[in-house]
Amino acid sequence: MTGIALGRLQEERKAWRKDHPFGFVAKPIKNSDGTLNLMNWECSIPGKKSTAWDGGSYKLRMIFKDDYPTTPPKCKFEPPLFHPNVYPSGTVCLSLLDEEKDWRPAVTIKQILLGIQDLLDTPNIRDPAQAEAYTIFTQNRAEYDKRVRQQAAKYTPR
Amino acid sequence: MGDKPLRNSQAIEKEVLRRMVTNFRVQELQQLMSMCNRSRVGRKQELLSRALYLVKNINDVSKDCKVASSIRDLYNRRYPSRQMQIVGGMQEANCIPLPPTSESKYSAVCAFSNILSTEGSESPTAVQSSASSAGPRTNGYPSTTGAYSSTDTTADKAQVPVLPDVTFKDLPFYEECDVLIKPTSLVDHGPSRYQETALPFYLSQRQVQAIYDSRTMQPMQGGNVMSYNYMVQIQVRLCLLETSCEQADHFPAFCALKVNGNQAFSFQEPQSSNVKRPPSNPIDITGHCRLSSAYPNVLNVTWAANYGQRHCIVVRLVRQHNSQILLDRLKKHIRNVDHSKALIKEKLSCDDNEIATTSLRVSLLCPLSKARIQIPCRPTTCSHLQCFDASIFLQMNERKATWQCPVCDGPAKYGTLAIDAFFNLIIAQSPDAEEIEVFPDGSWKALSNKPDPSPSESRSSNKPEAISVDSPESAGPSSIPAKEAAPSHDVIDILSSDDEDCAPPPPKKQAVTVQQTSVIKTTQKPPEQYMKPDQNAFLGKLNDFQTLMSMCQNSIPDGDPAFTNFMRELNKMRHFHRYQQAEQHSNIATQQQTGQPSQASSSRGRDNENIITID
Repeated sequence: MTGIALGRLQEERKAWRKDHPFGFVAKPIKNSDGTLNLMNWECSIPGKKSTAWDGGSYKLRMIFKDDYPTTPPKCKFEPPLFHPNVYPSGTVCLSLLDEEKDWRPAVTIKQILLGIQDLLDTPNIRDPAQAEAYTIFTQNRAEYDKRVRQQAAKYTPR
Repeated sequence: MGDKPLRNSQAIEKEVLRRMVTNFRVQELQQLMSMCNRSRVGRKQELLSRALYLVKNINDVSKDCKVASSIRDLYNRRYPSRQMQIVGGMQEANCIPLPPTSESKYSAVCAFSNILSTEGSESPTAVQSSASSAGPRTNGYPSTTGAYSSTDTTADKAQVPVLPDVTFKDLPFYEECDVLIKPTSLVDHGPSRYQETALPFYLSQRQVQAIYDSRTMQPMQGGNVMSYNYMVQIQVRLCLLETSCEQADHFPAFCALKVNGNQAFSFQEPQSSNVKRPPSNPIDITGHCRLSSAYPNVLNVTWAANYGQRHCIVVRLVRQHNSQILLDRLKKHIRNVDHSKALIKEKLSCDDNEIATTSLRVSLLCPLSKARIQIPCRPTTCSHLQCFDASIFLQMNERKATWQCPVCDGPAKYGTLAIDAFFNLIIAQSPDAEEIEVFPDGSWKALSNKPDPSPSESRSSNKPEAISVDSPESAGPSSIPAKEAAPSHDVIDILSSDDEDCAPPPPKKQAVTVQQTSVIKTTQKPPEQYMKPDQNAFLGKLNDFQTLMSMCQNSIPDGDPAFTNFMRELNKMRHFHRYQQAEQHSNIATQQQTGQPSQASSSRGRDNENIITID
């Protein structure tokens, strides 16, 4: 079964290198012996233009299990992000990444990353994952936008 | 002295009410709370304890007491037929709240009535000692001494067939050899939450031999401990007691299995309502059974009774198959070439939504592996052309049986799968293509994944190298010669390459891509599109949209804003396409005369030499 996961991830890697959306990064980490660990990818998602997230580039780790693509990868912002749908651990709460909800084995890494980019500016208030961003978002939208902008400035690549 | 019988009758009446309340579902409990002006919020347990508190605090259980009459009302609505039994057969009060007795262990299902009567006689004196001691039957309650043990549970049992005619859903990975215990109802006896029953079963000498023959040693997950692995297994399945259709496996909220007194399995439904209940799977108890034809095995089932939900259990001798065996069987189930051709014709002829399609693009990549399909298969129940790889699909279902079509999410039962002979031929005849275009007459053309070999585009000549470096990159040593051979410009460092090896696509295209991927999950994009920001790519994109449209139409709910957007985009492009077509026409014609392949000209491509017609 691991064979299926590795084979698929190899194809994902090929497809990504052939073509991927501008500003995004996704690459498997390197083991200490220099080989690639396809089960663990380091990614980076740019904030969408003309949103409060613009300018920032948010680092995210994707961890695949042996039964991928039956199960979705775990996606974790490192460091954790100020966002209503990101758990304090950094894990993203998104129906697309939930095996019981919208996850389908055919969903590609590119689609996941684009989906998370989409989530940044359109949080799902019915599914809060952290108290801080959720409360500020619901109670003081101006303050929320300010915090998001500060965060974007903090994570602007130099 | 005089008010003692009165107090007794009060106690009895309260006990009756208490028992009525414990039989309520959440629905009735909530109604009761509303009737008594209490909060109807909370879990069942909380509601129940609130209701019991109400009963406890009733001062005078006369008919005009509001709480009591509400409870009676609700109870009569819930169990219209039981009314007499509960009021009349007050004696149950001392025999009902019983934990499963030890006797039940040795009794088969059919002996329930015996158990009930023994329970009645042996039970310790229950909650209200005053009720059981004196002669409460004389206090105005119809005494039904004769029907003493015919409690409401026996009434239920009468409605439940002991051996119901339940059909379990087929499990393709387990072939049934014998049925050891026929589907048997798990019948509640008494209102106790936890119920228990014992089911003995026997193995024949032949069955024992078959199990032994299939046994192999296997290291356990730890590594140094060996365990047995059986291909012929004794399997337990549970499902809802429902005879109207095939039943999927389903466990009660709690259930535990013991084989010959040893714990073999347990299941507990997650408490939180957010967590979706895990799928119920068949249980292999082979390792816990005594593999002998001389002694019976006894299966003890403990389960949590749930109102309105009854379960039944079956024990079978099955032979487990691996995905390879299922694949070999599937390979014999081939769908004729003409089936797919007819489907293509049908798809291309129906032009609703005013989209006149002249060809369809179909990916040769498996949506599961994202690599080229080896064995193209498709459920006969699906209406799409897109296939997936049979071997990968079966292996994934072997791990977790979802039997869900990876293309359209529809059901993809093993029995409905078929190898698509049309695509089988195409895959054999196009060793490299990742995508093809099919025409109404069943002819097809490979859409090369390599860009045009025209030297004018420097990027396209670099690409093949970039891909070839990619595949051995995880193999380690083999990537070194590739690096040496290729000029430094073409070889891309694995770690730093990502941002360099692809030029940023033009902004307009990026916008389209984002939209497309967020709407449709099965998108396969031909790689050359970002490389050639020209007319051809634009037309290709249009084609892509059309194929996607037909592929995904069914899976998108009406009125989805993203889908509406997508349709608007498509329309814009179509208008643009029409506008362009006139001038384009002359260009394409000249291209074809000079022998240059023009892959994006959809309708005119038939003159092209790449076309292979299957007949």
